[in-house]
Amino acid sequence: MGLGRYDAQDQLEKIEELHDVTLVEAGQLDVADLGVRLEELKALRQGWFDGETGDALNQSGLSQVSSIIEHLHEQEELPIPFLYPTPDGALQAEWSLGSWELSAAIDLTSGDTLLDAVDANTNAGKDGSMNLFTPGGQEALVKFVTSVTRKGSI
Amino acid sequence: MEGTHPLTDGDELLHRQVHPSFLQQGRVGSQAFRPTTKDQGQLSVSRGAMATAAEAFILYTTELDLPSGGVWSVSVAECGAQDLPPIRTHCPPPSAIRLTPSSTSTAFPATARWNGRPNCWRSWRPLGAASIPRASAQQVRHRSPEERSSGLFRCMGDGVGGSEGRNSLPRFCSSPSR
Repeated sequence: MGLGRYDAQDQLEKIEELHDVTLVEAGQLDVADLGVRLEELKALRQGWFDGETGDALNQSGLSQVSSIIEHLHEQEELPIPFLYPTPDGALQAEWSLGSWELSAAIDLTSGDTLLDAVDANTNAGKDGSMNLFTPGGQEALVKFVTSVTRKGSI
Repeated sequence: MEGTHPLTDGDELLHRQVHPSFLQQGRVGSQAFRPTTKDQGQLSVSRGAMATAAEAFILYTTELDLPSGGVWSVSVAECGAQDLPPIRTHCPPPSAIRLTPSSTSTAFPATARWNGRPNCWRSWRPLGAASIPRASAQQVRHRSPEERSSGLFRCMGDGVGGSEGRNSLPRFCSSPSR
């Protein structure tokens, strides 16, 4: 925490006072971030990508995915992912965990999900598929992601 | 012909405009570096030899009036190392180029592996644009046609087009090639 001076463009010019420093691990999100991101994604309208392409994301599907992620985060310690829209109206969840990059491409209507993981250091990788809207699929997602965080490998 | 004009300066940077929705808390998503269905497997970038990252950002957001959350860049050499040799498009003079897979590349773009290939994705690095003062954007916007045609932005002139005969102006460094 501190006090900073900003210019007219809202750019930080100078830190006037520094009261406290907290180390924030890069890439670590919490449930509040998930809620904020969900609202951003819900606000995307048809043509969001370039005025022509960019399908709006299925609102109920987004809410369902958000609830699932929050549940899995609280119950299974699933890290909160970064979420991105795709131009065809799907949702891409991504995690950067150590040297691993993981992604889940989620069809917001059906819940069908493609999983992909790759180790930046070794190029080792793994992929798979499941349905996020099913208990078995959610279990598979947790296993896929947490195997990296707990063991450092898949 | 497309594919017959490879870029040879390995140090040249290739600039990619990243859609604001592909940024979350400063982290850029892999979607930013994946061709869309309209891209026909070729990712579009603008050439560092023709415009700096900041200039490319201004051009993109003011002249083309398209959204950009910033510029991420990669060098020609880094692309080549990933078996994605960049080639010039037909844009005369060439300032837009595309990354295209070589015949031996099996990971691009049919599979999602593109988004996870660490040495592709992670090679891209932010090159600013977030702090470009508004005055600069106005200055670029108000350059005379002569100025624009003689320098960095001459690719904006008539006849600039996608190599597949698409509409000209918006096709430069935007869809269908972003």
